[in-house]
Amino acid sequence: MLRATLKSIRGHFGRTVATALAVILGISFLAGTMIFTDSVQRAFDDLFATVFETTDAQVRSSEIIDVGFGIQVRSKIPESLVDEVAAVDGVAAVDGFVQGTATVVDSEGEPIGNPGQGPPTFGFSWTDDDELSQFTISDGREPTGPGEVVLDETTAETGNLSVGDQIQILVPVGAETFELVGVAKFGDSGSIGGATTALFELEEAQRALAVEGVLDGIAIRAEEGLSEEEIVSRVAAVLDGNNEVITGTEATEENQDAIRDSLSFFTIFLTIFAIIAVFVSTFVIYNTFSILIAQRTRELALFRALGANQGQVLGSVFVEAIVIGIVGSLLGVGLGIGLSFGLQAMLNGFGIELPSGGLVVLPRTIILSVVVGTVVTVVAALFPAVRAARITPIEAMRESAAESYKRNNVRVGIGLVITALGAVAILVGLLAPEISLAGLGAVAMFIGVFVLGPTIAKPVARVLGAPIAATRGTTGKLARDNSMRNPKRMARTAAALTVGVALVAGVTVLASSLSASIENTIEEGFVGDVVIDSGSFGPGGGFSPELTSSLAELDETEVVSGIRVGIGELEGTGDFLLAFDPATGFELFDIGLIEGAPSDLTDDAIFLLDTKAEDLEVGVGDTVLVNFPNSGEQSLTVRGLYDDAALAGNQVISQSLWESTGAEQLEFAAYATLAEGVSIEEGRAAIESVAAAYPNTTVQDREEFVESQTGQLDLILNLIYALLGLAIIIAAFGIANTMRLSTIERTREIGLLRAVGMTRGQVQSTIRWEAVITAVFGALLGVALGLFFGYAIIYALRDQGVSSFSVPVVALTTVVGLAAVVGLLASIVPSVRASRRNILEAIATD
Amino acid sequence: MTEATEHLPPAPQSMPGAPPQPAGNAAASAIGASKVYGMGDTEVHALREVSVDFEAGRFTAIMGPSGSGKSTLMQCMAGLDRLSSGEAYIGGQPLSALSDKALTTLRREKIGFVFQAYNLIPTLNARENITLPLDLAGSKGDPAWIDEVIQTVGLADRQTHRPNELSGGQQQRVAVARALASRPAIIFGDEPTGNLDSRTGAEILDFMRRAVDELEQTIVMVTHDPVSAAYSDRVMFLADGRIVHELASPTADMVYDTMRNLGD
Repeated sequence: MLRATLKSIRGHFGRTVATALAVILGISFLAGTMIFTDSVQRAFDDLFATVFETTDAQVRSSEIIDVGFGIQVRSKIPESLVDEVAAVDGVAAVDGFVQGTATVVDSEGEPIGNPGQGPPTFGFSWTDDDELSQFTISDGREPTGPGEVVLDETTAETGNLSVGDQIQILVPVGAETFELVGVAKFGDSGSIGGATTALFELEEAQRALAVEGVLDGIAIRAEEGLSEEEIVSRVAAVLDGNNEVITGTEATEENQDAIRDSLSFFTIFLTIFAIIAVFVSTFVIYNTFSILIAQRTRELALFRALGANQGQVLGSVFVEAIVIGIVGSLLGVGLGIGLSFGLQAMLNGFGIELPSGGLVVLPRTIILSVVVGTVVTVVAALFPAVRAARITPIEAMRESAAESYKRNNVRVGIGLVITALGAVAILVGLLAPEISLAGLGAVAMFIGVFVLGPTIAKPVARVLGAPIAATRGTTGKLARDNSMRNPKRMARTAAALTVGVALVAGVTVLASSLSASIENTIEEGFVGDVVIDSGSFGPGGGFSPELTSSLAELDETEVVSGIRVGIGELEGTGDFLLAFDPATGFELFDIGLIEGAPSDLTDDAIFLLDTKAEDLEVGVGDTVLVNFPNSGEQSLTVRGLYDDAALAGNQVISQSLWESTGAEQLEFAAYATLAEGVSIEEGRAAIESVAAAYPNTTVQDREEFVESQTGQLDLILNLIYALLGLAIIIAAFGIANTMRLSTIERTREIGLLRAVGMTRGQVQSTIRWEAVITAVFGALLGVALGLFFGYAIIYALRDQGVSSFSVPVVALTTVVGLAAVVGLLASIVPSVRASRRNILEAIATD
Repeated sequence: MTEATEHLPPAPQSMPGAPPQPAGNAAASAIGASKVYGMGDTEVHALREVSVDFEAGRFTAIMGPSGSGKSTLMQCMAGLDRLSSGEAYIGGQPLSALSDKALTTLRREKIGFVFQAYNLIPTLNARENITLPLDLAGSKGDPAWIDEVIQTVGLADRQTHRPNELSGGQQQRVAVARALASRPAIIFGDEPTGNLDSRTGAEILDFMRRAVDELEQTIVMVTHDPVSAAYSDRVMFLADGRIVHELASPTADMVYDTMRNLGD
């Protein structure tokens, strides 16, 4: 039996390849994701291993605030600690350092890199101790005083900057000009994994990065022969409770872990799409096996007649599934290597740059891919195999190849129950929020609709096919009739596309609703005329408040207000705190103050979002504890409540309070109203002439501002579309596979049609339209599910400032149209092949 | 043997500049038709320089043992296959010059087919199957004629039935009606009654006979059954790729005798 199975695999190489293709594609994405993220992780690991290679110990503050999203802020330490540490017995060298953000402007006046997206733009102090320093000067000299800077080789090259040039750098204190006195290598490479680095003499760094008098940490080199642990215990003895010391090895691991954490969002994101791809592949494999086994029923029955028992028939199908699963998975891993490059290129295309090192294919990647690929194939083959084994030889010999379908009320009932349970799970999961439950709900809905598919396929195909049958003559009628002929098969074929389209439609509905909400929010809450935007949000990004002050002084402006992102732990939870200027901020933004007045936002006050206040069970007059980086815990009084989460987040503090914590002061954007009688053009020109000194700013009028805000969704939206594209491609292969197998099944029929006068073109047209009907059926189901997904998410977000549910009719129609095109493309090869088959051989086919 | 050769058209002669032409009253002809399958050692000569005319308005049967080339001759005449050399004509039109598309159009307009089995498209009902070649051409045909054909084959009350709702005999009648629907120049039947019991087969043959006599159609039928052959006006016997004998106005006994003699 085993030999017969293997012979069968070889004998039907074409269809084996077709099944394997679905496995290959699905697994390639899974493997590609793992290879890609492993490679990125390895690149970062290597990087940090180099950074701390010669550091035996590091002193730093023990105060840290975690905001989530991989953003952590650690407090500074006093400079005085350097001498204390240096005095410890066994310490050979110390280096007190500061780390911040500094964006270099290239020779064309454009900023290199954007800290908001992509690799960081570092501003560091130069390490004087040669052994502790990871940077070595390759041209020029090290920075020794004010107005001097050294760049990493890659940045100098990218920016077309050479030693001796006066270069502009955006630092927290403003856009300043420095002399490029040297260029340095980082270890053996040109840059820190694609980041840009500007190195200043320590005091100059503290001034430029706005952290005067404090340090981020102290790197320690021990005397020869002292272990890391030994030096750490000696240094620890001189530290107070606010500070800590860790070994170089721990520092390496911590940094590696931090990167792993910040990559984990990304890894999860990609893995979700990999799972979707595998899920879609499962439908395709299931469908292919179902058709193949139906067509082979007689062959299998012959085995049964010759004495093979049910177990052996089942076994033979399993062996075939396992062989296809293993071979397909291995090929998938191979393709995954290529795909990992594709992912990198694609993310680069979307402006997300990651460091690149060697390709990392871990044994785990191969094992997991093969296991998943094989299990999925075997599971997909399970039902058809059991069905095949149950058929008695006589039944099989009698039965024609086509599968029969009778409406089955039990099936309809089960389908409805699964769909309903899925819908409930999605709603509950989204509201909880428990995303994995919502994910399971989505899977259940897909399966439920899949079970219901055959019942609705026939009537839907009749309706969809009606215009084709009416306008395309006999070929159109045959296409429609063929699509109605086997509702099970049509539903199964369409299912893969349904999944892809549902996700695309859901995301589209979501994006369109979010866009509408953003537009609404700005329309209602923002009264300014011009926006000066830095393009980043969060620590390290933004421009110096000096720009805002200069803009306020212009005659053309009436009110100018900058907004900063503060960070702190509110009652133990790390979060962003928007820092407003109470005098101007509320004139430009209506954040929906329910209680309190702008003037109430004093340095000991905080305004809370109404729902946040409810969660904390506080009201106006109560105090909350906020822990700021550097300055530590502070008790703030709730003096105001507001309801616009989209504009102001969860909490608002005053800028002077945020300044008092000693943190880096950067405004992510400034907003302006123009003086009376000043046209938008005039005001804008005046603002642009000032903002030009800050190359990371863009000046926008209201309309452009709305566009740029909604446009931020486009990036992620396009990324998702690109990733979902693979699911659609797999579905297209599924359609091609079904069409191929169906036309093989109908060989004699097509031969007859050809004999009585159907041209090749007409044969192709018939198959093409059948594929289009199938694809559109799948797409319509997908759109229906997608609408539900989109609506459910918007409903769950109704408290987060997402107010509109918008159905993008044009976009969804386009999606259905594209699905029709996918069906059309998928049918090209099978239709051409079917039309070229020899008529006589076709007619003679049994 | 000698008698048979007398009935044959003259062997094609190579006349420079003037290719041999089919006889004027022939619905279909072959001149020097040869068909070779395979190459070298595995070469099989299915047809060897066969020249034959199928006269319009007559019912011709082609007989011969398996491998005699009878089906090949019919398939090449019907434009389903191409000759290795020689020429086949339908209504004076040489087939070798036609593209696949032109050949397809010719099949649907000039030729009717009745195969042994599985003649019908399962998704189409009886009437749709009958008008299929016309529908494919985007033509309405002659509704009066189609009704007459349907009436004649006795399917008037079965028009909206799908093939799986019809008996084997009814299905073959639909097939014959389809072959007639476009009033083709010639109808080819490949053992059209081979899958039917003798009584149902006789009905079909009777009907084919009437199509020739009453509707003035031309039919060429491949068969191995002497009783079926007896319905024809003329029987051609093939063996080893050549026409070896011919009978006019045959009876079943005559056909039996001829077969027995040829078998010796």
